[in-house]
Amino acid sequence: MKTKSGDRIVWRRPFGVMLAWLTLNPIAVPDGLAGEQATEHPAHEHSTLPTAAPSERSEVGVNLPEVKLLRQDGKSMSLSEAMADGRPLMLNFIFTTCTTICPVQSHLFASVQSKLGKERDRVHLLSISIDPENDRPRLLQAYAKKMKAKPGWDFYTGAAGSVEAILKAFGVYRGDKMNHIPVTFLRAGADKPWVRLDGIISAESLIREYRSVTGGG
Amino acid sequence: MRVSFNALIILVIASLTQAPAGADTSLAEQGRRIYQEGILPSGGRLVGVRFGNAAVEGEDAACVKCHRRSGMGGLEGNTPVPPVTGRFLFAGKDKPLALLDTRSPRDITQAHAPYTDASLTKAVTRGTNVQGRPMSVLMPRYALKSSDMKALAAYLKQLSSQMSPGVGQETVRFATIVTPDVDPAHAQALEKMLRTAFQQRNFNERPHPGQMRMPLQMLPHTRRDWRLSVWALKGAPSTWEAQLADYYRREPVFAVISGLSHGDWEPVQAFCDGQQIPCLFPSVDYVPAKQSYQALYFSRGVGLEAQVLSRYLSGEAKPAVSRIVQVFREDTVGRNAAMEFRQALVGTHPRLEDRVLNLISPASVLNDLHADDTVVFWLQPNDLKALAQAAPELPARASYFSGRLLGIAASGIPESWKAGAKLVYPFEVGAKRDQALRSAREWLRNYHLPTVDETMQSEVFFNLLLLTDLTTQLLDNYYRDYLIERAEDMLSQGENVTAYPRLSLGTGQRFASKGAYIAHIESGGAIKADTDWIIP
Repeated sequence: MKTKSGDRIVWRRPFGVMLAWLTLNPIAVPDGLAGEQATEHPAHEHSTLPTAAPSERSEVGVNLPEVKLLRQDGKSMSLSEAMADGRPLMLNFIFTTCTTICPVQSHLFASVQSKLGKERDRVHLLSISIDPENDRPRLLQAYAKKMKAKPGWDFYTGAAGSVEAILKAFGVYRGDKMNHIPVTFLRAGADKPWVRLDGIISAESLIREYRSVTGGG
Repeated sequence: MRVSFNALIILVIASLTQAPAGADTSLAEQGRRIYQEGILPSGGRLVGVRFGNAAVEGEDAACVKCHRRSGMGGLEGNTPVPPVTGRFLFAGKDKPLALLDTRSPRDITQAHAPYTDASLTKAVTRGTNVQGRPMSVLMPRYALKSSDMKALAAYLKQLSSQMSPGVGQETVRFATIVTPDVDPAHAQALEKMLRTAFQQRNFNERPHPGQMRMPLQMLPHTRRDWRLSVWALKGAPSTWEAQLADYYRREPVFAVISGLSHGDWEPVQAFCDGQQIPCLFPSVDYVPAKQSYQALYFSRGVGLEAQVLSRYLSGEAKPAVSRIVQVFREDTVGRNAAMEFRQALVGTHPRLEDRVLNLISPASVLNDLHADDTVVFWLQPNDLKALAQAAPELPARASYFSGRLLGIAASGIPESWKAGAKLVYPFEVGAKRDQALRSAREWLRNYHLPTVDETMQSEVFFNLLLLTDLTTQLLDNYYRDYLIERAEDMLSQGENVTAYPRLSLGTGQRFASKGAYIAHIESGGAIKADTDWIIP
């Protein structure tokens, strides 16, 4: 039906680009994904809890955009201000109505804070919402509470365009929030490179990475 | 203690009626509480362990978090969450297809042997799938006793096992709802658009000789003709819920799509929630304050505007304001807009005065205004016209108008008021908006459908595209919960063909657009934003 363009727009959606996801494997993830995160530490016979290490580690250059953000307490600041208190940084991207990846990502940060104990204050954790129009400061505050965030872990939102610019600068812009993938960034200091850790990782491996880039124990 | 005889009878009857199917029903109900609430039959909290011995508990550990209410799972980034309904877990060779997604995962999952109660227990408690392989690091390993597992399995076996009402082998029926306050020409425009699109879509989806078929079209049971019911309401709002129930009894529908009202929508929302029917994106000015699961909206209408305006008038860049006068009609839209504005301003502004149009003559509504007053008009074009006849010049220093009530073009502002008018404008401005509206305009032109209300018609057009996408993704899984979940996940993935800057939902989110501009009308009629997009 090509006679009417409006007709083509509406009633012929581009099925060609859609790939059917055939007969799903209940509970298990596809081999590729499971393998990626679990094969480095094969599960023991008696326990099938995989230890998660990053599937990929890379160092990336990031040109931080000049954008304004809103912190969970309602304070407005620039991205560089949010990152410039001199401490090493850990950064992730989340949204509060995300059900699968983000709770695990946030749990990772909570775990890092609790495992660091007294050392907690020496590192600044940032979570930037990739659903900024929904995640207003009030919701971020509630989310922080739910995740048992302690001082030193801040949540940010902003204009949709600002968050998009940040995601692009970090090379993780994927068009829509539902396309997001688990990534954690780490920076030892303002003049140091960003370390990008892909995949679902454990608190131990993130702390190990943190110690290695900051030259600590 | 003396229990009345009647009460005793009722107790006996209650226990008798529960008895027959009782055992199984309560098992599935126990399973439902594990699945949805993370509460064990013992009353304790569900506990699971993820990698690194990270414990999840209670609500956070509930299956519903990832596998969703429908049990159909979904896809987040490159992380698939497989369906866990009985139909997918325990079925043999003849497995249905669960998800069709434009963002294909890197791997297409291979078929698996059917689960048994024993292998399901192993999967849930030890994290080993039916092939004996470890499952995703995201899936917790749960501490469940065998009696807990029995309850969970009983729940999964019946979860999304029946197609929802309104779905036949070859057809699926939708309704649209129009309230009696709507101008018949507008109601007709809505119905014409839906009928035209349904007809065209059904024609194009039918197999035609010699036409190449898409792979999807060859999958069994994935093509259903769309049928439309138009539910026109009459009389007082208090009778609408019964009218809708009556319509529904005669012709069950799978979901409600679009709808039109300039007044009360509360009874419609109550009907949708009561009957558990998804009601997708009606064109309404005021959205009921009561939280809804089934109703999805473009925005919160005038309620959102009241919040945005309050935020603007009391925000960092606030204009100097002495007294605010708000003018509204004593009806659902006016009363609620005014009430929400008043509440939003609490603690930020000392003087807010109400002037109710029904109670005073149009000629005196704008009397006694000072040059430095701020006036807010929660009014439709007809009311504004009457006021402008009495006061050809805007009497106050600043006057704000509702973009929702005036529509995309804001053409309802009296000519002599335009230059000084400010809009609370919940739409995109400029070329970006016109670009987005092009497809709808082109489609209406192609089908010789008149433009009577572009705000509503562009919203209806969006719904038609959305319905096409959603039904494509549902495949042969017409469950209402799944429909809502797909809409929550996929709304922002499609092309934006509306006047809103962007539409997006997430789990539990019910309003797709979340802000507005403060804007003015330029001499050529173009609308120009004076602020950034304000999200209250």
